[in-house]
Amino acid sequence: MRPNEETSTLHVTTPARPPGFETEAVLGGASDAGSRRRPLRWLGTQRGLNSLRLLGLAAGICVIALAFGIAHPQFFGLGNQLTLMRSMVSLGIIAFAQMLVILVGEIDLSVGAVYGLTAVGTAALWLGGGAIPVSAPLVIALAFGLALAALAGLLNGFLVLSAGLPSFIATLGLLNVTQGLQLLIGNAATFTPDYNEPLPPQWERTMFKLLGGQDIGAGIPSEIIWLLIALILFWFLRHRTIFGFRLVAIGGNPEAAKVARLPLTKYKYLVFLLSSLSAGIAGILDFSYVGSVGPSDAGSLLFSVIAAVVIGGASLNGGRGTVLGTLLGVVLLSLLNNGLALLGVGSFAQLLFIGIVTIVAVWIDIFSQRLIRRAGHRAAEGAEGRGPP
Amino acid sequence: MIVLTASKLTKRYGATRALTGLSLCLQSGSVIGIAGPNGAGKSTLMRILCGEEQADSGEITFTRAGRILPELNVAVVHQEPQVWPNLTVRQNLAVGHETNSVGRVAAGAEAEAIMAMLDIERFADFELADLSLAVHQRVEIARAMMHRADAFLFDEPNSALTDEESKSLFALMKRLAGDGKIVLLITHRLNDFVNSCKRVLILRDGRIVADLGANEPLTEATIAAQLTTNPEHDLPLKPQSVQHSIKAEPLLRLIECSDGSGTFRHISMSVVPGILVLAGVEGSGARELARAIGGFVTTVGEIEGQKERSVVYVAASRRHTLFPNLSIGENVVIRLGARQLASPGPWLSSARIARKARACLAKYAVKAGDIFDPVTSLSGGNQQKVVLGAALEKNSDILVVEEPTRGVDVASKRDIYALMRTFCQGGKAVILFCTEVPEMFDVADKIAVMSRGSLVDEITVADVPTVTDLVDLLAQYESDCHNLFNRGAHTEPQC
Repeated sequence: MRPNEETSTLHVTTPARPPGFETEAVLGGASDAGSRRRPLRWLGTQRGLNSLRLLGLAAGICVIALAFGIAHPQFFGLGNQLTLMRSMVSLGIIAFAQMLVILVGEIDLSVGAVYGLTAVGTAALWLGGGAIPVSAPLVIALAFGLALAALAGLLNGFLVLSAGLPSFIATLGLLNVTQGLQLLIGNAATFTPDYNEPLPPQWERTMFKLLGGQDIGAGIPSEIIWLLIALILFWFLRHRTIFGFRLVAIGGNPEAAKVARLPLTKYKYLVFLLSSLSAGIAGILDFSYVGSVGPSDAGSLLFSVIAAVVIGGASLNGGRGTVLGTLLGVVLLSLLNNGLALLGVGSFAQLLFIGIVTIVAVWIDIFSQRLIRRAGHRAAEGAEGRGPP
Repeated sequence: MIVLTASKLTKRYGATRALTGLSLCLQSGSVIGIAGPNGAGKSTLMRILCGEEQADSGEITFTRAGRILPELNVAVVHQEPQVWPNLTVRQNLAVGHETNSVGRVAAGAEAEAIMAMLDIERFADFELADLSLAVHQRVEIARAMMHRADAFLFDEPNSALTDEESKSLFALMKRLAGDGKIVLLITHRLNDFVNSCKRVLILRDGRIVADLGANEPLTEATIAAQLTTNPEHDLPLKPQSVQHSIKAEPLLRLIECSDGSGTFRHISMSVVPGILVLAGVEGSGARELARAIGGFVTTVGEIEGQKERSVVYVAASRRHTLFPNLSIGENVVIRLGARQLASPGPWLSSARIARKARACLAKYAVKAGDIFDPVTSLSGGNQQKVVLGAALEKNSDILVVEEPTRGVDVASKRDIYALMRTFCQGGKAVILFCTEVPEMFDVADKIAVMSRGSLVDEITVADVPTVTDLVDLLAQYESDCHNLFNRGAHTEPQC
C-alpha cells in the first residue's frame, strides 16, 4: 500500500506540472505503482490496443464460425475445414508479403496480376501452346515463371525508388502491364498438364502435383504445408530479424530513418521483390492444386489481400502491421467466403457481403480504439486524482 | 582537441539568404552557445554542420590535434525529435545500433546505461505514441549519445523539460564537453547560456556578429544587448488614435481558459481594440494561447464574444499559410467567398478575381510582377505580405498572427506592422505572438507576458520608456518565475 500512496501524493502536490507531462504522469504512476493499478497499465496504450485488436478479431472469427456451424451442419466437418484451410493458402502467402510492403508505407497493387502471370508463364513454357515458340522441362519452366515474378518486383522497386513514382501509381500501372503480358504469353488459353498434347513425362507431372495438389494423408493437400512454412518464415522475418525491425522504423518515421542512415532504398527493393515472389509462388501452388490455369482475374484477389492486411491492424500510413494480425484477417475473409458459399448465397451477394464486412471491421477497429484509449486515460486520471486518504 | 572551422558559408533558399558568408571556429572542451533572433540562420547552420544539408559555398574542416579529419561524426538533438512513435523507447534506441542480427531486437548494455542515466528506463517498453514530448526529447538525446559522436549539436533541447531535467541535461552537456567533444547549444533562454556556456556566438542575418565570452564579458545583459541592437530598425511611432481606443469596450473576454494538454492554464484576460502582443519563450504557452484565440485549437473554458466576433488566424510558418501551387493573385484572394469572387450567380468570374487581386496587391504594398506569376517567385517579405493581405481582406474583427516577421527583411517588417496598425484603427484588434523584443516595443499597445502556462503580467507599452527597459522587464519575469518554481517545487508554485 505504501508505495501507491506515495505516488499519488506526489502527483497531487505538484499541480504545476509542465506541459506534456500528463501522459507521462499517467504511465509513470501506473508503472511505479503496485499490483492494485496493474490492470490499468496497458489499457489505452498502443501495445495494449494491439493485443486487444487481435483478441477482438479472434473473438469475431469464433462468433462467425459458430453462426455458420449452427446454420449448416457440414461447416465443422473435416472436409469443409480442409477446404477452408486450403482456400487460405495463396491469400495468406501473398498477404504476409503485402503486409511488409504496407509496413514500410508503400503498397503493391500488382500482386494479383503477378500471381496470374507466373502461373501462365510457367505453364506456357512447360506445356507449349502459348505464344512462346519453345517448350522446356518443368524445372526450367518454374524458374522462368519465378524469374518473371522477380522481374516484376524489381520493376516495381525501380519505379518507386529510383524513378520516384508513388507506389500506388507504379504498381497500378504494372498491374495492367502484367495482366496484358499474361494474356499475350498464354494466348488466353487454358493449360492442363494431365490432358496436354504432347503429354509431359509422368515424373514431371507427379513432381508438379507434389507442389500443391498431392494428398499427404487424411485428404490434406500439400499446399497447406506451404502456408505453414510461409507463416513461420514471415513471422520470423517480421518479428525476429533486424530486417523486420528496421522495416517498422522506416514505415514509422521515414525522416528519422534517413537521419539514422538506415538503408531505405535497399530494404524497400527487397520488400517489393518479396511481395512479387510470394505472389508468383502462390500462383504456381494454386496452379498445381487446381490442375489447370487459364486467364485469371487479378482484381478480386488483390482486394482480399489488402483487406486482410488492413483488417489485421496494419496502418496504410506505414509503421504498423503484424503477421498474426494478417493471418486473422486472412482467416476472417476466407471464413466468410467459405461459409457464405456453403449456405448457398450467390457469388454476387457474397461480393456485397464481404465488401461490407471489410468496411465494418475497420470501422469498429478505429472506433473502439478511440473509445478504449479515452477510457484508459480516464481510468488512469481517476486513479491519480483519488489522492491520499 | 578537436577543432571545427567553417569559413565563408553561404546558403540560399529561393529568395531568402539564410547564411551570408558565415565563418566560425569551434574548439572542443566547453559548451558553446549560439544565440540569434528567429530567421538569423541558426537552424540552417546546424543542418549544414551535421551534414543534413550542403552549403552553397564555403567550406568546413575538422582537425584533431592538428591533423585534418576526412569527416566528423556529428550527432544532433533536433528541436522536433526525430524518433519513432510506433516503437518502444528501447526499440527507438536500438534502430541502427542493433546488437543482434536474429531474435528479439536488443539495444545492448550501452543503451540500458544511457536510459538509466536519462531516467527513461521505466518507460523502456512503452511505445512513444503513448509518451509525452519530454520523453521524446530525452529519447532523441539518448539516440545522439548512442552515436559515440565527436560533436553534439543541441537545438533547443530543453524546451519540453522541467528545471530539474534541464539541469541534469546541462550537466550531461558539460560532461560531454569535458570528454573532449564539441558541444553546441542553441536556445532562446538567456540564463541557460550564462549558466552552461563559456562562449556564446551571436548570429544575425546569416553571419556571426559577436563572440561573447572570448572577447566580451558573458552575462544575460550582454547577450540581450547583442540580440536587441539593430542599427537598421526605425519603425514609425504608433499613431495616437490606436492608443486612445484602448479604453474601448473589449471585443473578447477569456474566462479561465486552459488548453487540453495544459500548455496554458486558467487564463483570464480581455481583448480590446489595438495591438496586443503575447510574449513568452517557447513552452510558456504564449504561442498556444494565440492559436486558441485564433480558433485553431480548442480550449477548455469560456471565451465570451467568440460567437459574435469574427476571427482570422495566420500561422507562423509560410508552409502553413501559403499555397505554393497557386499564383500570387489566387493566394491573395484565397480566403474570400463567392460574394467577392463570383458573378453572375455562383460562377467564378476570372475578371473579378483579377481585379480584386490587383487591388489587393496595391493596397498591401506587395512588390510583384503580375498576379499570374507563381507565388514562389516572390521574396520572403512579399510572400508574407500576400499572406497577411489575404487575411486582412477578410475584414474580421480580430486578427491573430503568429510571428509575421519571421525571416523577413527590415523594410517588409515595417510594411507589415504598418498594415496591422491601419487595420486596428477601425476599432479592431490584432493579437500578435512575437519573440523579438524591439518589435514588440515598436508595435504593441499592450504586452501580455506568459510564463509556464500562466499569464504573469500585462504591460502597457506607453509606460515603458526604452527598449532596454522592456528587455530587462521581460528577462526579470522569466528569471523570477524560474526562481519561484525552483523554490516552490513541493509547495504551490505560482507564476
